[in-house]
Amino acid sequence: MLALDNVKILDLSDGLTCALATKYLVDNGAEVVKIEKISGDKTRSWEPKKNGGSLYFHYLNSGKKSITLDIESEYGKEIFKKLIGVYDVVCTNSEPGYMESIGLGYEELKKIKPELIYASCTYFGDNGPMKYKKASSLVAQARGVAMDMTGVENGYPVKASPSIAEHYTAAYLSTAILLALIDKKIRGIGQKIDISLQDCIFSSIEAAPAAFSVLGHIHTRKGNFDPAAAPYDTYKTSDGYVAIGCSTQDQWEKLCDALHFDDLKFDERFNTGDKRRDNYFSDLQGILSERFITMGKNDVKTKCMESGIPCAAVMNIAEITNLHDISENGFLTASIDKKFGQIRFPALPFKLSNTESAVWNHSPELGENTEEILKEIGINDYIFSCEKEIM
Amino acid sequence: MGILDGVKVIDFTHAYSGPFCTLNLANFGAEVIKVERINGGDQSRSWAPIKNGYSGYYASFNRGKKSITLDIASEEGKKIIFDLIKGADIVCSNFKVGTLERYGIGYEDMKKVKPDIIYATISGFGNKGALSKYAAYDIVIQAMSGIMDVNGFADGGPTKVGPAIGDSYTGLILLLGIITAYYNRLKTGKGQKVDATMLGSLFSMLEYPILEYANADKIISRSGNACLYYAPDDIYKVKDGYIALSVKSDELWKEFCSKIGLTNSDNIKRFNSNEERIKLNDELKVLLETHMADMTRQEVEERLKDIDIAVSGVIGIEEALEDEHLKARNMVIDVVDPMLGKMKLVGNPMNLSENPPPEINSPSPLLGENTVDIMKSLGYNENEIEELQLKKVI
Repeated sequence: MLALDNVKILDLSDGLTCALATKYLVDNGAEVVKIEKISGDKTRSWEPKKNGGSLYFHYLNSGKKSITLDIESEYGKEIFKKLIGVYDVVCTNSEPGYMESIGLGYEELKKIKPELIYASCTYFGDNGPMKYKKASSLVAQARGVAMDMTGVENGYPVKASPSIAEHYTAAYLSTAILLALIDKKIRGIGQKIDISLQDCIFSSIEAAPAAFSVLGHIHTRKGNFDPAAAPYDTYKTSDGYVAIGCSTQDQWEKLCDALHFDDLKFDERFNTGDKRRDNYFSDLQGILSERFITMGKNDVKTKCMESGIPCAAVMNIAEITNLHDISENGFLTASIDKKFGQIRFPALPFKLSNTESAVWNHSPELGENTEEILKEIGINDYIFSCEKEIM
Repeated sequence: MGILDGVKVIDFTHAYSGPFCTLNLANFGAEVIKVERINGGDQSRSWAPIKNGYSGYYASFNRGKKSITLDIASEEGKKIIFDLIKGADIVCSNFKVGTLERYGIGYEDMKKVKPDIIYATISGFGNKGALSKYAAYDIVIQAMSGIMDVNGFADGGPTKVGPAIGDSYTGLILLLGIITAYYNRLKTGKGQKVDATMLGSLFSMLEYPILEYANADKIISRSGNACLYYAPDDIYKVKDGYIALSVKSDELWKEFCSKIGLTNSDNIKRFNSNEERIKLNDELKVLLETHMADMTRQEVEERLKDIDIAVSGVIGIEEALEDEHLKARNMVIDVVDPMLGKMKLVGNPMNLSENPPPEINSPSPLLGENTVDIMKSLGYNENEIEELQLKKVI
């Protein structure tokens, strides 16, 4: 038995964020039915593709069911409202105001089913002056401060290349859905969940608000250096980059011993954590950079790790995917699909010891389960619906 | 009234990842009891920003929790832990793999006194493999996971995401695991172990390049801020900072050109189709930056406000804390810390309509602030408590 058996979710997601949230739920046993527009979820055309299908869609939507439905049509709305009756959760990433505009907003649906959990994720959220402003992932990130904190000093701010705002949002969204389900179990009530990409990425900015509001210090981009400790940075070696994190005096002394930096160990500019931080950009960074460029990355890494100093070579996607620890811990997993053959993809990032999550072999074709789901709510004239082009 | 009212969490976490996770439990009403070392407590109590000897870092992520100091290596300390566990629902830790087991307070030990306990851990690299015995920091995980390699400009170095996402994202993933396990416990009465790892969490964030490499042998590396599918979608330098701008169709591109004043140039014709704009993205960037060089962020936003184009200045922390939208979203909250005074911190991004955010936000506890109260609630009398204090057990 899986943790979320018997939880039923109607998923209007289109794209990454909301679908990733319901992936976390379907992998733990929830029944997730995707309601797709007639043209299908846009990720059905996203790279990488194989045998005419999208591996990206497959990764996000395996284990889910798919029905097509034009929820803007009158008959489509009627069907949607009937479906609400047998599902616990509706989730959507449609723009603010859209569901209300077609008469399917939370207030309307609540009248039909008071205990409904209605989850919405948007770029800017469901209130505030930006609510109806046009948005994009890039713009939401630009307003989330993390971008201002990424990159080199005096250089451009850098967006995170993986969709980190989307990933934070998906994790918060699925957690919030579960919290609402718990609230429903305890108090018997439904509610509306409102989550935004901007808020979620803003929640990742560590101690920047405290540093500014307490001391007036502005945390902005300073390369890969961390303002809390030194040396905590990446360095170019003769054959690639290494990352080293020294946050205690002990680690610093061990680093000097391991790499034979005796002169630095006793240098008065660097013999306390505060001094290393204060003199990092003026002195220490330059000195270390000159030394590391003559060394090999694996040599540095091995010596540091053996001395207990957190350190790694900067790896590219191929190197990390092939790393033995990745397969040994099951971080990369695989399934065999009829259409695609074997597919390898990242595993769910948390593990439960008793209710292990599922790895699904099949992602639904567009509308694959329409007939079956409609029968569930007593609609048998599926053919009629198709003729009216609402499915 | 919170969803997790009555849920008791024994929290051994320290630094950033674990406390970030349990902050979210406290936000929904769980009683989070932080077990800290007698000597100095959570290591983040010494982390910058520091004022009057107190840490704004610690104060950011331990709001609404209680603090008990305890020597977990002593026999008496271990007994107190088991007393705590008997009345608890969830245990969290982010020590190196095997640490609690070495003290005799691992999952199997705790299960004996509380069979339905949810035992949640964060580790750097997972329980198996050559790396499992090593300590991990955010910079190490960002370096290894591939995040740094895909981040930044093609002609520049690998780039760390500024904030420590290796910690906060893993904390969030652990939270999701805990709530999933807690839902299951409500249903079945059974507890279990929940594991999250920093490496596994960041690795999963890279789903797109991993799918490309693991199934199509294509290696994706860093390529700057521009999007691969439409242009402009990039960060541009203007007079007083940077703006993010996304133009998703040819029609909008025309409207954009007219609003921003790029009307009379023959140059523009070359950029008429999205395909061309993507191909000529470097040139497009130079063209737009040259044209907007004397415009402020506000001017650009003002010019584009009536058309369907996503645009915003790239905002920094100072601006964000005064941002009307973030304030309206309750994302900038006021906390009065007993040692640091008034602070502005990040609010809870999970808005549930039947669980509004509190009017007043509790601050973080002083080291051992709740030790005596917690000991009394476990049935220790004042003499016993004093004796344990003298022996430096608590």
